[in-house]
Amino acid sequence: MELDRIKEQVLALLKNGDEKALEKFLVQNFKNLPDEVQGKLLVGWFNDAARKMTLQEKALAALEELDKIEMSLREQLQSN
Amino acid sequence: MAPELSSRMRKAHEAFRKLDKNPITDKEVPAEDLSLRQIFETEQDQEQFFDLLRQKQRAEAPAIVDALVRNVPLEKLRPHTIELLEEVRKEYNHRKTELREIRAELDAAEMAEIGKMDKRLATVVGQVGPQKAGELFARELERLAFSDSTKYQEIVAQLREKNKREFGRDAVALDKRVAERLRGLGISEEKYFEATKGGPSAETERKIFDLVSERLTGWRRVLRWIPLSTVRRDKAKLYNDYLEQERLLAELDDRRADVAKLLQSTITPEHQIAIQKHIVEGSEIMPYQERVGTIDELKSHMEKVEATRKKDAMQKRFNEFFTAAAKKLKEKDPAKQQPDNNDIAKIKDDFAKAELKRLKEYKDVDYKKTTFSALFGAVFDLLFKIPGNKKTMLKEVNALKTPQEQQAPQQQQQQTQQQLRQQILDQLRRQGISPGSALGQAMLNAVQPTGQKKKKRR
Repeated sequence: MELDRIKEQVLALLKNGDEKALEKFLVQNFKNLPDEVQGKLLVGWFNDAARKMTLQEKALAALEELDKIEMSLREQLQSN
Repeated sequence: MAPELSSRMRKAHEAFRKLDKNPITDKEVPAEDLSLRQIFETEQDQEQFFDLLRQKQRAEAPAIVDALVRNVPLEKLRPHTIELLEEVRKEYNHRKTELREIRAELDAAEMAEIGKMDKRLATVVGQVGPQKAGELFARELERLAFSDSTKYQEIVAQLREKNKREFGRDAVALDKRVAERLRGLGISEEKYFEATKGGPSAETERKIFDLVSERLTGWRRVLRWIPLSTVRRDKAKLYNDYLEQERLLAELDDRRADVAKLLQSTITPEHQIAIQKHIVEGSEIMPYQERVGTIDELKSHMEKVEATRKKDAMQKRFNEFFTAAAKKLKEKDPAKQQPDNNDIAKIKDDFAKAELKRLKEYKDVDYKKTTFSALFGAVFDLLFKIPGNKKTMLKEVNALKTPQEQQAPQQQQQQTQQQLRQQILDQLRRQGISPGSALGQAMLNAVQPTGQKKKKRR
């Protein structure tokens, strides 16, 4: 019965077209979802988080590199 | 099940089968080594094997699966088919080894670490407990291992990457570093976020990865980031041209802004959604007909699936499938007027397989790599109960009627009316009443066959 209530609510949120609200609802009611759905969410969110963290680390490193490129450019310009 | 491959062939491969590697730690571990006979002992293992075989995308895969299901002895299969089966068997065992090891790695401590990577993960791991979370994670990974190799390998690579870091990855600490770095650039959120003017693309992401992974120096590094049209092509010399120098530095600033915008998106969810839309719109067209990237696309995808699952839609598809199959049977055996019971059972079996394949494609539709791809897949699974195997699907198919069964009641009704009409005519004749008389017509009209208009009495 709990699952039926959740499905009804999910349908209503889906109709509203609000992804954030839908996600928040599933997080709050996670333990009442079927195992297969829980597994899919866990792996999906892990994938999201891992991609985001990898991007952040590499982007921070890229900014460092860009600073170094700028410095070497300016030095070359000055020496010319 | 037929005899296995020759013992000589088996022994030749024994050395390779003994050890494998833990996919996360690279440690050497004992390898799984199930024979085809063992794999086919359980329905789940068999289905996983078939899924792996289908992923090979060889034209002969469906026929091979069909032959195996019908227990055709291996020696009756062609040599290159046997080779393919052995190739898939090895891959299957390799996957099983990996999954066994991953399951062991995803213990409570590891799941607690994974929880630190994301607020959503922290909440849900807390709700179900890290041990249960590990089991659920492992089960989903097992599903992906045999249904979506690309996704499976991506997740395994990420688990491996996470493992390399000595102290795990703390998402909150990383977000703070990003925010500080952006503040250090002296640029506000609002300035960076101009999503309507276009944002960093998948191309920018790729360049970021290239830049930090390669060991380019000097001008080669610069040229990675600045369009060639901006730099004079003759040996990339720097000219004493003030304007050009300023242009080069301005280009660098733009590239820095692109990277910063991407970084900003990772810590501001609303920006992330908008940026993702640009990345999605700019991304390569995949070979699927349907891709889901927004909640509206998910809604229309679900409406489409719901419509196809209705009984009358399924009956219509079955009628077409049956007619085509019956035609093929008649071409093979012209003496056969219509399919017999054995044929009908085979047709229904094949239809069940086709339906299941179609539903799996709907279930595994390509969810674009957006913020909500995990969410959309889960919502679909929650709201749609798709039969898990052919046996369950066959129950639905057996409730459908063959074209003959659908016609039969109408024919029977027509036959009954014709019989009645004939009986009345016989009775009228015996009693010497003309069928054309008023009484005769009244009696005949009372059993008018279906579809015929009653003639009006004049």
